[in-house]
Amino acid sequence: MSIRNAFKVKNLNFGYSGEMLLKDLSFNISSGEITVIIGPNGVGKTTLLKLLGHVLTGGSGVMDFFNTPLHGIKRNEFAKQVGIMFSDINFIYNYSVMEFIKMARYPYINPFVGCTALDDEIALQSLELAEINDLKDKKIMEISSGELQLVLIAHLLTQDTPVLLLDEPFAHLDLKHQLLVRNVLIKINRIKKKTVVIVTHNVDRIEGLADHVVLLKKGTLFRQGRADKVLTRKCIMELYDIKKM
Amino acid sequence: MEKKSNNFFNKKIILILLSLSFILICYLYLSLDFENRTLKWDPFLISNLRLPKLLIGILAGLALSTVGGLYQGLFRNPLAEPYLLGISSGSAFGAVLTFYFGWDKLPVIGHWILITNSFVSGILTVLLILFISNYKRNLNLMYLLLTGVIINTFLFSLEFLIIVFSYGRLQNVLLWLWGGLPVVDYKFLGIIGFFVLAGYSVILYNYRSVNLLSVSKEFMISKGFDLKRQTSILILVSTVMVAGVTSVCGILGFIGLIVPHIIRLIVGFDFKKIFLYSFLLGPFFIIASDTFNNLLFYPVKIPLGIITTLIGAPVFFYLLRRNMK
Repeated sequence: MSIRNAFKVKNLNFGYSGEMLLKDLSFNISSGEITVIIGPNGVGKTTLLKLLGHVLTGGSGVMDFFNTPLHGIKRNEFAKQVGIMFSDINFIYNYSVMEFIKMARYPYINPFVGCTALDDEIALQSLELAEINDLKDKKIMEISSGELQLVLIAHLLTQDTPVLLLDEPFAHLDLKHQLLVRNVLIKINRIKKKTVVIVTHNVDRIEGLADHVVLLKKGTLFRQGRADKVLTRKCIMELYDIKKM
Repeated sequence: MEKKSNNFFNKKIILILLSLSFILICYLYLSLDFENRTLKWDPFLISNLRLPKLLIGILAGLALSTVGGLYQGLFRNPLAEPYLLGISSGSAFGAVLTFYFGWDKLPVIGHWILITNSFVSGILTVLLILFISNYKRNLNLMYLLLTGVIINTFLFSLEFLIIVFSYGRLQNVLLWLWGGLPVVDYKFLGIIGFFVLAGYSVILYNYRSVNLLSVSKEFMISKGFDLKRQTSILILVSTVMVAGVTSVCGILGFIGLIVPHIIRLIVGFDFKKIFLYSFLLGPFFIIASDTFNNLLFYPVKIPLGIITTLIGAPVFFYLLRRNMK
């Protein structure tokens, strides 16, 4: 079976208020693989992820999703194909965890009917997968940042899309839960054949997780390729401008 | 587990009690003889005086609390209220001009001119604010909100300038500004009712957008909703609702701010529930306030806006403190 490209990015340029952040990026993200985008802080990783998730628009260049330009896809259809986990959510209303997780079903539900039994079941399965059943009735502003991170991941799983974009999925988590998240991502990739795109600066956590890596440095593509080939000690030191250890 | 079911039981009890007391207060409102403080079922008085007042009160309560809740989600601000985008000063502008030129004293059409002027100027003000803040292009809700605050303050100052020059009409203007439930004929009630109920249905139908927007703009977009489309629909619909109600009742302060918060204390933060329960608690609050108003102060007519604020502030503060513990 030939590998199809979930995303095809060609000559992408993007910037805020005149200043270019991403310069001439070209890379592909294969369907059914785990791709990790790595780079130092402030390099534009989150921006790139939001561009892929079609949450941010603008910039120049080609961005295709399964050979269709992103801007040519209907938003409500896209939301059933691609889910994105944000790392910069600021809650001001104290929803219960379950209320928040069920919002991930909004692309599917009929507002006259609301959440069906099936939607509830999918939400409960995600809670189970992220091992946060006991948080179900807690309030979203009253849980720890690590717990919130797991809730965000359960939320993304509840959206049940073939493609998942995650921004720093290992942030705020202790070692045990980092491994848990890692296993969940591997599981949904291997068993449910989901395409996973992760953005992180945490190189340690992705060994054995990533199939494909895209390294960004100063807004440009530094290197890309199979994870085991590209991620050498030398390459990482160069990426982060570390002279000697 | 036991604690949870107990809690749920309490909420149900509270809602049943509230519904029952709402029916009771409507009955009282229709049949109380304020002069003698006795109950008197007088069909003529009811159909010509009390029922139109009751109905306009229900519509006003529904519109203000729904839109208050809506704006609190839309602008991600718990302090948001229905008059935020300048409808209060806008509608007041039409009314103040009408009083200044004495048009309201014209026979037959005077009352209609007052309502129409205030309705149209309220809507025009919101459109002006949307235009000045260039919302169509930048989709910046915070900028829209600040523009609204500035225009609101500016217009109120301008209005007081006009009021200063309208010698002898000061009382009419001030009474209008502080709001009340007037007697309007049923044809007009039908029109306002249509605006309010249609707008309410649109807002309730779009509860998903409001829930998502209250988390963040990008969060909403990522769930497949079009930011420009959804916010435009919601802002326009809510403007027509509030302008309709304000042109008849004047400015009824505090209701749109506190009723959504009171609902949150009972049923939580889901905006679908907030909109649903606005149907009960918004009208309840207004009718109860006007009943107290008439019982306590008859025959002096105190503007309802003053009563809603005087009752609302302490009640809200009490609930807030209880919830903080």
